[in-house]
Amino acid sequence: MKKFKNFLWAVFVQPLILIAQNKIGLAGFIVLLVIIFMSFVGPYIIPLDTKVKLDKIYQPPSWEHILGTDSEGKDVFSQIVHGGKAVLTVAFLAALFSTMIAVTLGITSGFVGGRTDNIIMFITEVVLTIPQFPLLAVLAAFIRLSNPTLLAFILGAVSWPALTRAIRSQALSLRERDFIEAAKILDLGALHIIFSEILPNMMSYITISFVMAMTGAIYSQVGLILLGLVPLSGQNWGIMIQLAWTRGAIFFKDSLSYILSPILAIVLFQWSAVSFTRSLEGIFNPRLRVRR
Amino acid sequence: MRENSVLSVQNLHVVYSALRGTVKAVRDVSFELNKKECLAFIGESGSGKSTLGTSLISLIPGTGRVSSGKIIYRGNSKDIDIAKLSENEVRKIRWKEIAMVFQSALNSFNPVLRIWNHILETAKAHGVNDKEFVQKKSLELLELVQLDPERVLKSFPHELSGGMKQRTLIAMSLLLDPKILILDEPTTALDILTQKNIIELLKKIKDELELAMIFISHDLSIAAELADRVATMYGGKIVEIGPTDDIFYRPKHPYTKGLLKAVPKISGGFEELFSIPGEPPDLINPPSGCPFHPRCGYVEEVCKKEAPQLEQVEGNHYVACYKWRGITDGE
Amino acid sequence: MNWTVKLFKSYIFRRAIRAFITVLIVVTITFFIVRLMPGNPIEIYIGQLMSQYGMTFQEAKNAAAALFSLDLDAPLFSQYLDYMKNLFRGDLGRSFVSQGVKVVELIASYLPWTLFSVGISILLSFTIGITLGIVIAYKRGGLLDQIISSISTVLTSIPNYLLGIILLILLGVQLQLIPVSSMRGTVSPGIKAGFTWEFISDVFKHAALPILTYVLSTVGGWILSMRGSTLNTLGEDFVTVAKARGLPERRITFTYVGRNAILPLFTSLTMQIGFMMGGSALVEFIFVYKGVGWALWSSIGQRDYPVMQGVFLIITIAVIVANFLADLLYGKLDPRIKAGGTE
Repeated sequence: MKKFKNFLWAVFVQPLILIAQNKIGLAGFIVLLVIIFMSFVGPYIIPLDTKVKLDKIYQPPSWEHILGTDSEGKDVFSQIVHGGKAVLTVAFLAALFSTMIAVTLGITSGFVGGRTDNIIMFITEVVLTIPQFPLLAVLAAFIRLSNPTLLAFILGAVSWPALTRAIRSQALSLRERDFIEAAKILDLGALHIIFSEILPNMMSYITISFVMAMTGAIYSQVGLILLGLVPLSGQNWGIMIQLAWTRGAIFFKDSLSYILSPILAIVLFQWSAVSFTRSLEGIFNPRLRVRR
Repeated sequence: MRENSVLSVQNLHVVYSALRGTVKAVRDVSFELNKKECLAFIGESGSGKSTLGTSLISLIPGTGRVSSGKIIYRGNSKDIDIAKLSENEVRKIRWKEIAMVFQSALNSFNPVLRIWNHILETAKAHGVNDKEFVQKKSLELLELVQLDPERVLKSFPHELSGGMKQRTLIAMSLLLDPKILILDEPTTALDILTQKNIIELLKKIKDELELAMIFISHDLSIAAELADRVATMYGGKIVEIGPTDDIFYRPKHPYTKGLLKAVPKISGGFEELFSIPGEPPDLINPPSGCPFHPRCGYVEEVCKKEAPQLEQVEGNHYVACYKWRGITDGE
Repeated sequence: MNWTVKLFKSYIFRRAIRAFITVLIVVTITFFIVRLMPGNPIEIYIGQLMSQYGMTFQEAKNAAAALFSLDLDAPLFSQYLDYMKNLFRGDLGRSFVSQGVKVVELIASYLPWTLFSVGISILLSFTIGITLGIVIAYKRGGLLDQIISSISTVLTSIPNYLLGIILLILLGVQLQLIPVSSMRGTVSPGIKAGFTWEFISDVFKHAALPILTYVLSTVGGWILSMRGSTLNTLGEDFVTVAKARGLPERRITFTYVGRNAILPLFTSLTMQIGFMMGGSALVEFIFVYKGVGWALWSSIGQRDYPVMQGVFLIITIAVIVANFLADLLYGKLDPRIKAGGTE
């Protein structure tokens, strides 16, 4: 029980305390929370505007429709509120898959070493060289990615190599530390060492990698949707952009907020995630700190 | 005294600005360095000895700066106060007049340049453009430090061992015939055998060449092998200074005595063998009076109130302690 | 050491071998994706031919075999060998959609544009990035540093294709600064290829938006990496020693700080090449710039599998070759790589 508490502390509380010390990191973290809250709680508060109003097509932002209306006269803001959940869920699952693969392979590679390490690293290097997005596009041509979980799985399955390499080097450096050596001498068992010594010590790093994996998954996911390669339906920022794009919304002044709103939502999420992780990095890696 | 001196440091203060306040790393330090003399500075880490060394060529790291005092260089016909020079003026002094060898033997060279390029660019930076002369000189010097000159000149830094790199740096420091050579823990990163060799080498250089040396070390026994005079530093101040034999056999300051007790029998750099109880002083809020009083076994009321000044023991031997008369030699 | 041993131990040779093996593996994976995936393209195509042209199964199968340059009756492994053999002869099959046109010829018409636009962008972005990065590292904590660092963070967080859309809206539609519609494609119709001002300026006019997009979306990353790397290098002992040696400030900045700070960025360079080549599928789609990225999108959309397969292969091979070149350059810049034999 105490171990579990320590684990929770290392994973959740400690990073928060440290983030609060960095202004940009804190701003990023707050924006991140706002976006998540809006996407997952917002839909219960703000109803989705589904009524087609032909007299209100492409309206600029007003008090009634703060982000204007779309090509069918529907309120854009309500679509933004409802369109985040799908994108973020897929990104979260994809990041979860790829982080899980990366942590497993990276730690195995770093700790077992020898031939296992060589084999894992060779595969990693090879997969790393294959450009991710074209691979996804080709896969999408064969597999109908209409199921969000499947999409997330495929996204995760191609994006683990960079992370694996990074986690391996972390594991390598941890392996040399005294407390790991001590645990080995005490013969605490590999699983015990991994779960109560290594993982908590790598948790901050894994958190960073996880958030970065999410931004990567959003890039690929929205890209695939924009190219029309995933037959998803429903409320989704990516689908909004794709619809706006194919309907030529970029060419009219009044339709601008229709296409820019989902773009800004995504950019804001990516920015907050990047700022958040950068400040985490700065905290955990003193070499990156500004020398005074 | 004056005509014999190459460097005269007068009431030097060096400070760093930190978040917590001003770190007074060097406080009111004065000394003379004579021609052909080797003066050693010893003390724990944080005693200010390294800061003192770097301040002599205006290369104090980070936020550090000379807040007051003079560093008079007398190597040329005209005396110069190094502390008052502009960056470009002091650049011309560095290595040409005062060379400095650092403790970071393993990382002193640019990894992407060959040793020969290091030497050549150093010469060029000081207006020596005769390639043949530089080559002849560097061959001589590398020979002097017992390296295979041809091989070393062609090598990249990573192709040399730690000891070889330090020898190369020492050879390079002599390239422009400086009047003063500062050695800041030149043997710290090396193994014991290499340390011994470097010390022998430095002795040879000292005997054969016309230059004054400042030797900075935490290891009194290494300093004793090389130095003519020794200065003990504590809390940014010189607490005792005198001929090596006097310091070694008849130390008067309790801190010097403590250091001597901590010297291991072979001259290895065993820092952890320092066994003076207590912590080095906080240089942001240094202790009142004598900086050593919180750790001193001879402490009295007066020690806590006012800092003792250096006073003459005999000849060139000075000590800053109220109680030195009561401190016996042997014990 | 005789010359064969030397060759086998050399950095270039080992990297070349690794690049070659990677190509082989990618080629193999591609083959099995195309042949073994559920609903693989060959079966789809056979089905299409049967339903559209009323061919018999055997006729349709023969037609498909000709298109893919494969003998579909042979065992899978010998098909694989055939496929490899064809590949080495430069035969990637023929297009479904543009009947009979060789995939290799199509690729030859698309690839130069992507290599051109992505290549120029990487050079520009890397150069601008390291220059600004080192400048703000020297002025760390100042106003310039804060402004450039913040802009860089924002730029790195915008996906390149969304940046492309924003640029189109901003420059093309809102400010009307550029004629968007005439900038589509790779060259204007009627302009002859050649070493003429007319042709070269036209090529740059068409590539301008993709290049701007690539550069803006990657330069921030370079700036921030170079900034961090410079700060690390400034703390290195050899920089202090160089100052003690009285070297001029310029020499220290370029040869000591700059050159060593660039080295760690080379790992990111190889990643970036892959990312940009891969992202070309999206950026070229946005600007209707007809390079391999655009071809990948259109071939997938038209279910033109031989073209898709060929384009995917060529993108991957281009990335592997570019990475190989980047590694060679790295080996040239860092003497520790060449001599030591360790990576």
